[in-house]
Amino acid sequence: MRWYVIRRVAWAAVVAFVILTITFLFLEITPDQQVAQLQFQAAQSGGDPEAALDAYEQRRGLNQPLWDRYTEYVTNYVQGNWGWSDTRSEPVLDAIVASLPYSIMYSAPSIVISTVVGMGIGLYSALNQYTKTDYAATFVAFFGISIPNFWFGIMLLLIFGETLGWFPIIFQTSIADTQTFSLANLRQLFLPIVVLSTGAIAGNMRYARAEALEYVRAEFVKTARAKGATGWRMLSRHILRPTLVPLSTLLVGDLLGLLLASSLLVEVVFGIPGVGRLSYDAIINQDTDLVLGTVFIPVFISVVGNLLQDIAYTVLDPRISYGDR
Amino acid sequence: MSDPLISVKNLHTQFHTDDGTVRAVDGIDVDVSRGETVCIVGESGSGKTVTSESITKILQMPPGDIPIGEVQFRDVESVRELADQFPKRVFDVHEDDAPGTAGTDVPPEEDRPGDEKHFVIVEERSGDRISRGYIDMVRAPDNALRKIRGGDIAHIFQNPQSALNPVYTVGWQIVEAVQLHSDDDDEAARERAIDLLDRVGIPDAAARFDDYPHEFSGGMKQRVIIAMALASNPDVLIADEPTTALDVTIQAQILDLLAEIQEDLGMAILFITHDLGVVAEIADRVVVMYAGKVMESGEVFDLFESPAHPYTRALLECLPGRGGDMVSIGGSLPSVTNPPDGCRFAPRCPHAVDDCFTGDQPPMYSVEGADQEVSCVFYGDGYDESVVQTEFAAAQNRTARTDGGRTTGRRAGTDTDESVRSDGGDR
Repeated sequence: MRWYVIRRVAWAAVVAFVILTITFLFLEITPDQQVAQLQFQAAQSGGDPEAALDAYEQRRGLNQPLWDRYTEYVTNYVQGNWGWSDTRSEPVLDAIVASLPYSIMYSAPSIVISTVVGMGIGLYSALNQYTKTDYAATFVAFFGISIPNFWFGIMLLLIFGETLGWFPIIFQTSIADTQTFSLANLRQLFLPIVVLSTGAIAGNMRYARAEALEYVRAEFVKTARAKGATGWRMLSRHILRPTLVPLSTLLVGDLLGLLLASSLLVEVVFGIPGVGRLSYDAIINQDTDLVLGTVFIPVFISVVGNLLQDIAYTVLDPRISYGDR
Repeated sequence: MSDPLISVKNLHTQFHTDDGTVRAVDGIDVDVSRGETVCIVGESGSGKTVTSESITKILQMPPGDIPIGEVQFRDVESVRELADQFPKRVFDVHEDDAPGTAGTDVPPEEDRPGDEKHFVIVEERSGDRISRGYIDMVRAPDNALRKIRGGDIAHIFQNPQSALNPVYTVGWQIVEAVQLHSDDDDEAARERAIDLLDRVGIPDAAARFDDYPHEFSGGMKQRVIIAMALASNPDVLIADEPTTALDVTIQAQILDLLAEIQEDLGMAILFITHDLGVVAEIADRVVVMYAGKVMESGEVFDLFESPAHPYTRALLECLPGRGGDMVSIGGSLPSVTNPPDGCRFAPRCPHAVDDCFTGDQPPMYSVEGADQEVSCVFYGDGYDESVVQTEFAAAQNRTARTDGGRTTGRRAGTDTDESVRSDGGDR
């Protein structure tokens, strides 16, 4: 087991390294907007565009050999030096670290809620297949999957924020900073959590239902019933437990989806200064280093997530051997 | 005590599907007495498995449903225990002298005692103690059945590959079975489980306790399942084709093991199979099922010596290695969503006459001079039963020759169910 984990971790490092290399190559072949701008300015003011380019490359260290720049780039990333954000005038890592808590504040509860509620409803649905409650759950699931998050967010803001006034429209960082675990903070995070959870609950529910259905009909569940197992024991030990093996794959997708696509939309709509918003602003303002930094977060989450998933597999399913891989 | 331990009476098990109601079991009677081995035989789809799973209601409900019928389980210990546990759901047949019996003013449905909520039926008391009675498994709720399932009536299944939960060790699964029906602590349950594994012939049982099912071969898994079934010394073991998925050498070992255990523990076995060779080896009594109905039942020697129903004859002639012609029964099982009138086997029966295509399945007639009952019109009044007591294959050939030009409705093997049904209706 320990060897297996060590090998998996080493493999994750290799993957991260490969990703770093590919992004470096992409950056290399991307035309630099700032150079074009500098050269244009130099030409306009009667200067030499070539000299401006040289000066720019000199300043940025771009005149060094490709290999040197590559090693420096990788070393910097490994050391936590992720570059300088021009728009925010601070190191990229600082900007990310500053915005991460706001993202976690609503995404962590959302992940927990969607996993627990989604799996719960899915299991219930599987056990009561083709009943009214099953149909109702299916309807809710399709609603959650179909509705676009940004539109749903705006609608919720309009109804519960503007018309009814139950929840604040503007996210106040001061409340989030000073009273993180307070009712006031929960109130302003409530709608984002709802928006993010609906989609994720729906997805989880459908997966859990499909997987559990497979096990509800399994021969070994019949064996358990013939043994005299009923109720909660039946559900948790004989249906839920084997269902966890395929469902553990959902974990990574969940984290990624929440932190990448949905959180960007939700943060923009609700005005939360989290990682999604940071990434969005960086892209709009062409702050290359910051874009890279925010893109690496989901990349590393997926690498770590896959690692956790592989380990979870071996813990959950005894048929998967970790000896010879 | 002459009462059978399990009596299945007029059992109807149906499945509600989009294509209509599948009448998988359509009114059958089976009795199993203490210590005896009863075999239910029939081809695939005849309702054997559904019958076996209806007894303890381990089939999926819904879509499964038992609208009519009764499964009586006559174990006085269990009756007393459940009568104490569910006092409001006890029905005393002698209602006059039964104090505190609820719902006696409700007229009983059909001829069953009590109403829908009564499932503990008390027939006799000696003093305060119940001395005769039964539990109606069909009406019993899940929380009452859970004591009986695995405790008094245990199951083993056809496919050992999938009957064990892959994520738990075999030890865990046997311990669960032990602890569900006893107050044993973990240590005692573990010892009991190892004893059981040892008993069913798992070598080095203590070492294999912590192994997972995928580390066992098919035959060994079936042994583990048998060990699990024996966890609380059941009165009845329901074995649903336990040897079908195993290779022949292992089959014999498993059958020997079952016979040995039966002798040791004196339990009854209800054995479901399509293998007549197995039946001949282990059965005391045989029930022949076809399309959800009982065709014939009887003592094993009588039934093999003088099969009364044409279907039984046909089945026996399908058996390879008997020296004579090996035949197959032409045609296929009738539709179970919309079964034909009359005898279910009539469309494939070379002896079928007009009466075979009308009314319901013929009643069970006793066969003279044998411990046998048969559902065939030829054993009723006005018919000569010797007509059907010829070789099925010969009869099939003869009918094919002489009836060559006639309507094909009665000839075996050439018709679909539809045309047979409409033919039958026209006559």
